[in-house]
Amino acid sequence: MAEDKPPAPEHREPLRSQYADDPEMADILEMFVREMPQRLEALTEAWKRRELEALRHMVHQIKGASGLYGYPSIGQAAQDLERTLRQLVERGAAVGPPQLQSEFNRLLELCRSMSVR
Amino acid sequence: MRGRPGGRTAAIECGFSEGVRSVASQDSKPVVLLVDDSVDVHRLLCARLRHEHISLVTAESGKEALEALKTHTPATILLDLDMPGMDGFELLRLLKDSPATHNIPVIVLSGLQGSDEKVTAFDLGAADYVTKPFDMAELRARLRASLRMHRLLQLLAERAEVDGLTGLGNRTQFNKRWAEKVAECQRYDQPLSLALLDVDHFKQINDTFGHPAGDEVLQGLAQLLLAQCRAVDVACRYGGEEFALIMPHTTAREAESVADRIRRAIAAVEWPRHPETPVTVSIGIVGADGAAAAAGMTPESWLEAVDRNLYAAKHKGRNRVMATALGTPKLGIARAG
Repeated sequence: MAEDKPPAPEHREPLRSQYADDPEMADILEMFVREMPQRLEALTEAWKRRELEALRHMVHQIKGASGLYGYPSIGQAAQDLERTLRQLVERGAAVGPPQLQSEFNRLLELCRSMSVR
Repeated sequence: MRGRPGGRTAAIECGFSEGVRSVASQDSKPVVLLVDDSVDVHRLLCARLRHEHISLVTAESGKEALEALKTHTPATILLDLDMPGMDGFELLRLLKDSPATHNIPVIVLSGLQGSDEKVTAFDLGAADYVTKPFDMAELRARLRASLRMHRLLQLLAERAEVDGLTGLGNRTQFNKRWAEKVAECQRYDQPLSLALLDVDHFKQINDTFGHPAGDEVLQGLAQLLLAQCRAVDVACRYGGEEFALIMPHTTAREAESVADRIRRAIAAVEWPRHPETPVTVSIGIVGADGAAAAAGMTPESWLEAVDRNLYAAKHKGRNRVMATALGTPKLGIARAG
């Protein structure tokens, strides 16, 4: 797989949920955003250890969750990354395609920029 | 089933402790069981279904769902297909194979769009299928439809066990409940008595005063039985003019006393359609003090013994109670008006 490079810190536009103004969703949105750093930590761990299947599973869950909480761009990024990971797992390859790193970075980036409001 | 620490609260909110989670409920609300390995789905549905008239119980796996089903009878199950361990299809098969859960409608939730999955789900007995990501308004509408359907099925089942004229349980219910009570008597060594009540000269009442009069007598007798019943007793319409009264935790002697009260009460009624003609009943009773006395009896053999006592009461002049206790030879208690 490509060399690990954390994404360069940059000014992030806060990513709002589609349900940001929905009072019913306020509590659980807040929980989701609050818990995201833990999820990303687990994701990064799995990435470092090259645990592809575990990584794919986590990305799959983020894909599902982001749809529920109203973050379609995260969902799309997760879907792209999941597809690439799935192909990698199936082929049993040791080296990932070039887009793997950028897809991973993109997902992290979007997740980090999530805001509740 | 472990609930939220601190117990249930009055407000409807989801507890997020380990294991099976449950929402505070009031008894009258239909239970909806959500089976999904995603905590996010649980949280979302708890939030979005907060104002529905339901009590939401959540489980994170097939195994937890089966545990929850030991203490809850859901009116609908929302089932995620894609779970690790026992997957949705496997759980669906188990649910439909078990008589206890067979008739609970299952709405399948799935991330897969393919029609193969749908066909399999429906063939396995799912009532409905919703793809993820689901539209909440649609899910809510399908859930309500499922709850309506379940309510109708319940009413149908209830109606099938209730006698239309008197509102008492019918023969089907009697057979079911009697078998249960006999088993309990024998297993837990508890007293049990069964009474069969038969209206005297019922055919004559119908012939002389008309069938509506006969119906009123039956309804009146049913009301009286219910009034004399304790919560644990079971009163059923056994036949055309015959009633059964199952009295758990009651010896033959005690049952005889209850029956005589009923007998006297019925004889004292002044019927609107024929005030000068009272109605009487004959009653046969067989009771057991406990498991030893009831040893060797089946529900059928016990019932036959009661029927013999009823026959004896009729033959001795009607308007009387004939009671015997199992395990005591020929020691009968008879009271007549």
